[in-house]
Amino acid sequence: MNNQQYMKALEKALMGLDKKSREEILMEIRSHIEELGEDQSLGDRFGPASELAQKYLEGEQVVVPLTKRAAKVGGKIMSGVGLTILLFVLIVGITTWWLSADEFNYADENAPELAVNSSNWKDLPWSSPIHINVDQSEVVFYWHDEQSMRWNCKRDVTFPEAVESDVEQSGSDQVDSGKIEFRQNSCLVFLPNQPSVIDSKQGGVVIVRPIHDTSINLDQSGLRIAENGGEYHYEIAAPISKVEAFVSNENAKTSIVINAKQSSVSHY
Amino acid sequence: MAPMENITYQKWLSQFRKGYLELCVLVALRQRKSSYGFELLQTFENAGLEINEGTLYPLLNRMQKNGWLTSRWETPVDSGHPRRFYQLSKEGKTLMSAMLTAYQDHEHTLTQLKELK
Repeated sequence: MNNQQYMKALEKALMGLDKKSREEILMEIRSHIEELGEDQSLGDRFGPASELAQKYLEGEQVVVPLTKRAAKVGGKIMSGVGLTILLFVLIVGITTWWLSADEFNYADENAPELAVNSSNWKDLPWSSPIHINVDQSEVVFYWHDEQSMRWNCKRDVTFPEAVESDVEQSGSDQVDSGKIEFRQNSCLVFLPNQPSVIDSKQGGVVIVRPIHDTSINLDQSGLRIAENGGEYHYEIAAPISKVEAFVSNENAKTSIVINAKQSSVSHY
Repeated sequence: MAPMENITYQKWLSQFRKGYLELCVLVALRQRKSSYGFELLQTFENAGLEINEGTLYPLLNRMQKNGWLTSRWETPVDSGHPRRFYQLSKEGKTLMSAMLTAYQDHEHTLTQLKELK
C-alpha cells in the first residue's frame, strides 16, 4: 500500500467523524510526511490505517449514516419484539412449571401428607412379591417394613385377576400374589418389604428409598429416584432413553433393575 | 515469562503510559509555548521518551477535543507546507499543574516506600 492508498484507506475508516475533524487529521498526517520526506512509508510510521483510525475514533461521537441509523432502529425494534416474546415464553414456562410442580417434596419420608391417620389411605395386607402396573398415572412409591400395602389415590385402584375379590371382602385378607393397577390415577403408595416389579406405560414414577429388590420396566415413562442415602446395585438397560448417572454399589443389599424404552431416568 | 510478554504487564504499561504521555505533552508544550507534531516527536526522542506517530497524533487530537489544547494552522515561510501548532489552553495549564503535583506526590510516596526498612 503506497502513501496515497494509505490516505484513502484512512479517510474511509474515519468516515464516522465529522468532515472538519477528518480533514484536519488527514492534513496533519500529510504535513508530517512532508517533514519526513515523500519516500517514507505512512504504514511503517503510523501503523495500519484501520488501527490508526480506531485510535482517532476512540471516545468520539461517531456519525452514523442514515441507512445505518435506520437499520439500527429496526434492529432495536426487532430486539424489543424478541424480548417481549422471550418474556412471554418465560411467563408461560414459569406458570406451567408452577402449576405442574410437585405438591410436596416426595423425597421427604416424614412429610405430613404421608401420615397414616388420614382417612384417604387404604390398607391391604400383603406378604408376597408384588407386581404393579402404572398406566398413564403419576405414582410415588415408598417402602415400609410392614407386610401390607398402603395407598392414597385420587381415583379407585383396580386389582386385576383374583386379588380384587380379596380386597372387596374385607380389606384385611392376606393376599399371597397378584397385581395392582394404577390407571389414569395419581397416587402415593407404600409397598411391603417384598420384591416388586413395576411396569409403567406413559406414566410418571417416583421411587423413594426402596428397601427390597425392585425391577422397573418403563415404556414412554419418566422415573425419578430418591435414594435418600440408600446404596443400590443398579442394572440399567435403556435404549432410546435419557438416563442420568447413578452410582452402583456391587455390594449393596438392594438391587434396582431398570429396563427403559423411550423413557427418562433421573435423580429426584 | 519475560515482563514484555506478560499480557497483564502490557495492559498495566498501556494504562500507565496513557496518562504519562498526556502529562509529557502538557509539560513539553508549557516549555515550548507552541509546537507541532513532528517537533514534539523530536523533543520526546531527545528526552529519551519512545513514542511513534501513530500514538502521538491521535493523542494530540484527543487532548484538543478534551479542551486541554488549542491548535492553529501556520505555514512557515521556510517549509512551504502547513503545520498544526498546538498550545496549552487555560484548562490545560490548570490541569497540567494539578497532574504534575499528583505525579510528584506519587513519586515521593514511591520513593518513601522503596526506602522502607
